[in-house]
Amino acid sequence: MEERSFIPGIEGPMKVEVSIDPSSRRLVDLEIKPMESSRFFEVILLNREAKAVPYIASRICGICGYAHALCSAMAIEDAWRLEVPDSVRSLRELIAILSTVNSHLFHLVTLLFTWLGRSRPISLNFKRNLIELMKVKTHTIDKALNELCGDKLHPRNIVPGGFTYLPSMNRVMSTLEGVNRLNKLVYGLVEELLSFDLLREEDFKTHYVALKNETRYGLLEGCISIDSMIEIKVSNFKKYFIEQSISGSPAKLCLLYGKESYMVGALARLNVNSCQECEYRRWLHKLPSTNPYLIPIAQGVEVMKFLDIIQDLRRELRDEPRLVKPHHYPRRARGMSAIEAPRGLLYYEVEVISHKLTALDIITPTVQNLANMKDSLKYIVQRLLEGMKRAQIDEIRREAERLVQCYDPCIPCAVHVHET
Amino acid sequence: MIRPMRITIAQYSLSGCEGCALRLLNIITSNEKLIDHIELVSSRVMGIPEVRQADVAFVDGSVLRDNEEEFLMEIRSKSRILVALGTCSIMGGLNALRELYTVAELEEQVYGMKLNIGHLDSAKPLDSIVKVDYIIPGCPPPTWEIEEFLLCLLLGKEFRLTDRTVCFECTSQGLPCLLERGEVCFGPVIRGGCNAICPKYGIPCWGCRGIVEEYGMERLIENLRKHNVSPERVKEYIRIFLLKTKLRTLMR
Repeated sequence: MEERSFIPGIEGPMKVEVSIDPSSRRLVDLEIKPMESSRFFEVILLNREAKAVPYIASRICGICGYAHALCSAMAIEDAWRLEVPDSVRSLRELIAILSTVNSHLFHLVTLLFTWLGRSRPISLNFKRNLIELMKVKTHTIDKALNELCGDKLHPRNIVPGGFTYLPSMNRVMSTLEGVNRLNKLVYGLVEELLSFDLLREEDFKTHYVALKNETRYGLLEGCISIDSMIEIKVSNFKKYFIEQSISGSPAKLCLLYGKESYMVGALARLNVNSCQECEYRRWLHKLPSTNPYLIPIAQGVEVMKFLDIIQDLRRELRDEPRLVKPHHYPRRARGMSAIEAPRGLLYYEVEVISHKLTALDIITPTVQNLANMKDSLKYIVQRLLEGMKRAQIDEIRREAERLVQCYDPCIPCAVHVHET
Repeated sequence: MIRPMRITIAQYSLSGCEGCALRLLNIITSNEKLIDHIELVSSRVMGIPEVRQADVAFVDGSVLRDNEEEFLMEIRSKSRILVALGTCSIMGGLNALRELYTVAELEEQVYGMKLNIGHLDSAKPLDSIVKVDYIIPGCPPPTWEIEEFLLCLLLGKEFRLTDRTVCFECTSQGLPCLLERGEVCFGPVIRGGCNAICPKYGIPCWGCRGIVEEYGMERLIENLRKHNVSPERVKEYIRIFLLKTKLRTLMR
């Protein structure tokens, strides 16, 4: 039986195999191995009516299902040249933010259970705070997503053109009233995480890629920024970012210019957008930050930021019609969309003939982060080897595991969607 | 009143989106009634990846790779009660759609090469490999039903799924009939318990909780025909969750 000693605390089964030469204390080889089976979504989604595509695409992933539903709907709208009203856009923004807060908080809580549970018993008081946080999240963020889209994991009503149904916005607003209570609990959670001295100080230089929006810290609209220096249109994504297959692996890698690794996700978003005004950026010491161990802290900063934005968006909620249909369907057209999923940039490219999906290409955040994760692991392992008199396998294993956990990879996403 | 007892729970994921696992974990980390009576002894996502002895093992996803069969048998050998959680583990769900192609075709189309990593031709539900004690269906299963199951265990009560249909739950809420509007809706034969959440949000029932009214299937097909729904459209929507059911056989 194949050994199933997968990295704990992450979504989906994955292994990292490290080969070291003990005599010279050099890293010989390092491989990242996602171990999940492919589910071939890019085939099973083809030749389907467009309205069913977001419903099925959200099943790619249990935690970023909302991102897949939104991105697929927006790519089809792009193909149809369909403009949705501002009411749809702002509600989608709220939904993307709520699902990102949900994802980040789940990651932070699982990280604490994984790290602290293994290194020392979790104090009762701290455990109570975690439970309180999960409880408040359930009664605010989860409840709002349930109200807005029928289910907090897989949305039911997201279709190209808007929403098939929405409840009264008063009900949604009332579920979000308690969101303020999360601030204090999340603050405590991040401070707790920082106090344990589990996060190494590292300086790993790489490229950071995220959506950049001039008006606000957006998740759904903007151009793609590389290191805050190059800005490209979504339609040019594939000119810069090239996917590559890995022999014998169900996952692929995506590289900048086809050769350089880059980071997407919370830390990349904060680095690209600077966020000078954000008071919680002090948790990261400096921005831009080059320490991949601080990704969970960046997620904490984002949650604090998003809790404020939720309050602003809450005031914009109105009961307005939120579904538009094209006047006519194109005979054959292509469309693209790039949004910020919780773990980073998510790209969809579709071809539609009339109202049916006929071709599909999805590039997920984890596919984009895998090469960066591998490069940063190599960097850390080599640094550990150089800093130690003897190669202590347990420490190397612990630090490698911890770094992967910081990246918050999503293996179900990474192995289930590829170009077709 | 809940008796002051504790049960040990293990959570395992085979191939799937892991949404069912996240739903379960969310319940056991936030439900005040349950939290003091449950001990989580295994869960990769929560940092405990080892297979351990447990009173109840919840398994989501389906067997898609050869190594997952042995993993499942090990889980069975260490669990007093085994629960298949979610559509993929019970009837293959979206994973079953691979059966419309060969693995070689799929790998060629997606990766442009053969992977040789033990992909199976079919999605095996758990009960085709090991004994399953309970099922909790849905994509994902409703929160209340998982909570109900855990409460039944703690109280020593028998857990039963509802035999009502989605159609019953839909009409009793006064929702407009999507089938009558010419939509492909399988609600009249699908197990309820979900409070007809999809029709409530404007999407027809595509059957994630499985068929409960087998004798109503022919009448449903007749009804769809009466509302001018083409057989091709019906087949397209069977090819979401219901590929491994008799409904597909009837539509051949």
